Amino acid sequence: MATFKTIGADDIQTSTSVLSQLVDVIQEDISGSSSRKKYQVFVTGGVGPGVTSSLFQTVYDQDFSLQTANAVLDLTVGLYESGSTVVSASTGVDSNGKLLFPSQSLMMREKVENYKQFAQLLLGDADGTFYAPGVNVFDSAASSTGISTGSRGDRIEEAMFVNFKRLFARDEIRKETFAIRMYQSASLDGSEVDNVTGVVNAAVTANAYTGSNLRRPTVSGSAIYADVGASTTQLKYYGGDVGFIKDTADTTKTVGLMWYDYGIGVFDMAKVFCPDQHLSGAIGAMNATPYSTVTAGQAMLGFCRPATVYPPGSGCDNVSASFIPDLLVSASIDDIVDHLASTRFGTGSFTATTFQNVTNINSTLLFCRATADEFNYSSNPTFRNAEGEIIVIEPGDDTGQRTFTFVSTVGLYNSNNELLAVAKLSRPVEKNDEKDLTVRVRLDF
Amino acid sequence: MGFLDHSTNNIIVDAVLTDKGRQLLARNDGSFQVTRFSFGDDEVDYDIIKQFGRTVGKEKIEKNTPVFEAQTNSDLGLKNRMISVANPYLTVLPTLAASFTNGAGTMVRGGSPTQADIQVKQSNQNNTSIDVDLRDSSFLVQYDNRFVSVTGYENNVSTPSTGQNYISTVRVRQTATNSDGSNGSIATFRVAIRSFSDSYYNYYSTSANSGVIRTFLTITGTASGALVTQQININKNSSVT
Repeated sequence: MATFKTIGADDIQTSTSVLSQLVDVIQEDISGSSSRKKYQVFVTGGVGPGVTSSLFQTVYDQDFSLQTANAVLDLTVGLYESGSTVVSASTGVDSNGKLLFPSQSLMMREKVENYKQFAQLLLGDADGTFYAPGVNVFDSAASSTGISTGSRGDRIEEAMFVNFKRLFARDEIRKETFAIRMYQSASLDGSEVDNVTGVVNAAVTANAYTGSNLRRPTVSGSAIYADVGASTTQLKYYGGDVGFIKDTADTTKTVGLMWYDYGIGVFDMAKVFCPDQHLSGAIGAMNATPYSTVTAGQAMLGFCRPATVYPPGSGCDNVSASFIPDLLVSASIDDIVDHLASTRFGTGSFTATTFQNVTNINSTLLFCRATADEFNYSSNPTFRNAEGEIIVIEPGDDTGQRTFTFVSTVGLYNSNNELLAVAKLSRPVEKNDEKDLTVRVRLDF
Repeated sequence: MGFLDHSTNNIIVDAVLTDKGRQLLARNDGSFQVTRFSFGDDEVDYDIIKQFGRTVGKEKIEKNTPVFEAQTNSDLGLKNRMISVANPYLTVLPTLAASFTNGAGTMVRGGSPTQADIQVKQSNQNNTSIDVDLRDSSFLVQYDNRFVSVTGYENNVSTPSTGQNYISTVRVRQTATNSDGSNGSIATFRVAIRSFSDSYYNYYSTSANSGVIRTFLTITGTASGALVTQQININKNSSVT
């Protein structure tokens, strides 16, 4: 057919290549309440007005109510079933194996289930445990602490999970490109017990802060964690490629795991944050009656002011509450994630986390070859005048001028002449009977 | 549709699958198979050669013709195909003409006529013989399938293939040869009005007459690439004039 040319098997090649894109997530997207979406699917019953909470929250790159917003990552927490936080809070197990907790705790079974879900996906065992380093077992040779269990051990008993959305993680996260900046402590709260050891210390009440530090952004004390050395030490487990996330200030300290194929970061909250820091403020709770400054359905965590009315240990419950275990046990997942997102990632326009993603591209290369005597005429209406005379040949010329065309488009068709793909050249290319032309069209899948 | 960056000396090729390509790919039945290609020159205005001569004109086309990004609509992706002819000395290309052999260009819904036969005839300047390579053994007919259908006349019309925007394409086989000396192809096919709602006239009627929908058939020679359009008016009822 004079307007088509057959593409043979020799004209088709396949290849694979990789595309990497740099992704930056800025602090205010994580900390801002308008760019962090909640899914309040959990509801308590029984005591008080009840507490609602999400099982995770989604961070968007702008106000999530806008249609142009893109979901960037999900944030949630999980607790290891046999970890010290869960064991010390639990009151036992019922005959069906269900963990039991006192009513002062909230969503403990959901936090445990969160951990199990990630363990099942990444370790292949819902009862498995994350270790950093070690991945799924304690690695005494790689350990910088030499301690296997407990909040200060390598076992990740209190985990923060950061799940990057497929839109940004694409096929996988590229090794040794991941970094995240987090503030290790929350701001001081101005109570009598605002130092990190939890000891009553009246001297620090003179600081400028008052009230809760649950939502007050931290302004100093950030650390950068990154998957340093992940490309040289490549580990592969049930959940695919995994690397250790380390403190860049001291790379012997491993604080978490990055699962590259799934785009999931597992952080040991006992290591990336100060576990003993005193925290205070109102949280959702199973409480039917208002007291002090909180309403029904709330409880006051680690707060005791004014000291003349509620001196430590006399009328103030849990005045020395700390991040671990008190907040993690007493607060709902929403309250914990709200605290982490609004205080531990900063609130400015700096980068909170960054990585490069990888997109694997499978390409078909089609070589469209036109020999010297092909495609030298055109059906373009401007190629001929009303009488059918070819316009590029000057009228009356008897010197044997030959026709030429300019190629700007390549159409790829199936045997039914249906246009399957179109390729455009960035500028028209002349084709005449003294020229062979080959256009290589790459279709990516 | 933006322009491609043509500021560098390198020629960049921007390729996309069309809607049809994606549709066939999604079928997962092997129907997505590229078997042929065609070159096109939709952006090129060859009048520039006439205005500036072959040397300057060529340079102007090459350097001053920005090319659009690839279009994903398979009906619009490549309009003007290049033609291969073994004879390099042609100075004239054949033309197409369409005419009604039975019925007329105005049809009436629910009245008469509801169909017409169209003949496409290929001819050449001064009735000189058309180069063998350019004799169309078939024609591609595109039409808006909401308003009309193209059916077989002498069983020479293929099953329609429908792309985006309700545009269907059929292949019409040659039914006769022009006896004027050009040896051009002749094909005849039948166009019939489809059944459609009165409300279509609220949206698609002409501004001059709310009882008339105007639609067009595009007929392209598969070998010559020559193109002709045929207008068809569809009156709402017999009282419309």
